[in-house]
Amino acid sequence: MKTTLRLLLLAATVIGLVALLPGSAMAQAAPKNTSITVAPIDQPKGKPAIIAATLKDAAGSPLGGVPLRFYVETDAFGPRLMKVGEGVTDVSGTAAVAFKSTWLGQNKVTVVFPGNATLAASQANGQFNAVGPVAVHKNAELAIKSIRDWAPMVAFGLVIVVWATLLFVLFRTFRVMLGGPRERSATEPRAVTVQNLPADER
Amino acid sequence: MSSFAATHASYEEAAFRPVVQRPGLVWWGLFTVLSAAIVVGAVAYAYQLREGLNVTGLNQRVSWGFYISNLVFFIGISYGGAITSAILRLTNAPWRAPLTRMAEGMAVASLVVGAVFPIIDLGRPDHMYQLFVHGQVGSPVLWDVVAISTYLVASLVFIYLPLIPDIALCRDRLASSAGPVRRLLYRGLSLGWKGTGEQRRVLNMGMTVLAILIIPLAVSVHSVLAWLFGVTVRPGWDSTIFAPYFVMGAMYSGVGSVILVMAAFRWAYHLDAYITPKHFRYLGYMLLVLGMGYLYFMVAEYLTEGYKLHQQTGDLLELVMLGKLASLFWLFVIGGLLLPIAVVAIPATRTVPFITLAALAAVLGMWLKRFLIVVPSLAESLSPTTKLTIYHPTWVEISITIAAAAAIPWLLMVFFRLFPIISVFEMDEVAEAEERKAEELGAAPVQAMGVAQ
Repeated sequence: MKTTLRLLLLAATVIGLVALLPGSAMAQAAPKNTSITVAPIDQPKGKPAIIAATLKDAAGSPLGGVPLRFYVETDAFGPRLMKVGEGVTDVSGTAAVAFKSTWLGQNKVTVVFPGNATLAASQANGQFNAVGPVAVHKNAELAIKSIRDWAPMVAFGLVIVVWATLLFVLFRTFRVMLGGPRERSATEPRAVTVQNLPADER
Repeated sequence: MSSFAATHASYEEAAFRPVVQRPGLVWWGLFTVLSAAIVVGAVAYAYQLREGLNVTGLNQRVSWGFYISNLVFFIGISYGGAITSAILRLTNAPWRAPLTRMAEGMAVASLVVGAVFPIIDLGRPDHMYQLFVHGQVGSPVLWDVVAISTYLVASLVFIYLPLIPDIALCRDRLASSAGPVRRLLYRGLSLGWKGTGEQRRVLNMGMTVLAILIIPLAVSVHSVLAWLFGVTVRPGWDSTIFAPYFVMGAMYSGVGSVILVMAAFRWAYHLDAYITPKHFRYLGYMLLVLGMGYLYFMVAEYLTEGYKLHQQTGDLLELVMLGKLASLFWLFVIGGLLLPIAVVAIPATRTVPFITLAALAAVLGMWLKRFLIVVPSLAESLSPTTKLTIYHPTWVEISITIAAAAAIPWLLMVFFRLFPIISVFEMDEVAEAEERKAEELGAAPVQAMGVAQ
């Protein structure tokens, strides 16, 4: 009984090792390496940029029918990737998305192939130039043309006055509370020294 | 002991009750419930940040729902608290002293909560950055941010100045019993207050300047907020009276909130000797006048709109008054407006519990009215080919709204654990003035600071 069990265990081990050998039908095939080439087209005035990417295998043959993800780097509160689209590669291994950036100048692009059972994941970077202006809407303005330009300045001036008043009150309070040079009792007469008087009154 | 000294000792003890007493079971229970509500709201917001605004009921048409209703509502009640305190201080009303701290605390707490809502409504908070980089001077949105931030700083200074002498009192009184962090806080914030004549003079001047400044500032904040709606051509928003209409509504809900805060802390800390039925009655009168004022504005608004009856306005008025939202509208009119007015107008119901209930009805009613201003105008179609858009808030928006409502009492509970609930400095000033007046009249000082009923 014991011998039979040992033989069975040995047979199982041998079968397992054989199955894991490279080239074995039972072994898992290693995914093929892939590479991406990014070729973005600059964003002209009023039109979107075209972000195109081509996926190829290690031998340089194009890989069609696989999904690619397209990202553009945003820079608000630190760089991070914003997904702008997804496309399936054609027979030449190329997929493309159109994207209208609101950021003028250089935009960084990342294209990702997430990989599948037979193809290894890969990613590549590129960049395109966005030419302005990018705003497509017209802002509403104050209808009375004669005051349109200076009315915001008046409002801004009022805000400055309010902030100045706040700062003045705080400054005075802090100076007196923290024992500044003018600390004295309310009933105390103001100290006037000869040096402080105008020259003709000395 | 002089009469002033005896009175001072009495209200100082009352003012310090929340600071020195160990919190009881009710305090901890309420604190836990409020904290849990805030945590749920924070989780909901984190979920919204992760998944985007599609987890809310907002859509392409109704892009302002609960969040912008909350913004208008919370900023509004803040305004009511600040203006109540400022007007009473400027008119030197002697009965103001016990309630100014609570009114100012409520103003700051609700402002802090309200100011967060534009960021929540944006979906991605980092988009605030765009406002500063690409902001348009002709846009009320930009001015709204400027006005709210200026008002927030002014409100903080407004509450801080009369707090300085009281913090100094904490510094001296709790020197041995308070922990090192608290001692450091009191020492830092009291700014070396000694109560010299010069210090008192500068402080009083600062308080007066701030009281004058805070009134137009608060009016401007709510006006700019109203212009966000008023400068559009949407039915229901396209109105010239929106700014005063909003300001009146803000004061109405603000005074209601002050009454609620006053009632809650009066009950919790047994402040009946200082916050008397007279305070409720006086604030009730303010509620009555403001409620009638708001009713007048509402009638004026709907009457002129209804008389002209443009197609879209007609559809909107029908939706609000007779359609799907009619129950909410009439609930506001009857429960949130007519009921509080009636409660204060009828002498038999002019009591502390009834006025508190009237205030609660006014505050809840005003939230409903804010919702009815914000949402139906967006839901109503501008095009004859499209239909009414339905907006259903999701659990995310409801949780965040409940969290915001819970954050105000939470902040006040924490604030009054650290600082006196009644402004001892102002109580002293009023008591001294009362005593001087009594001495001039040659009579014994009457009960100080207007606490006689």
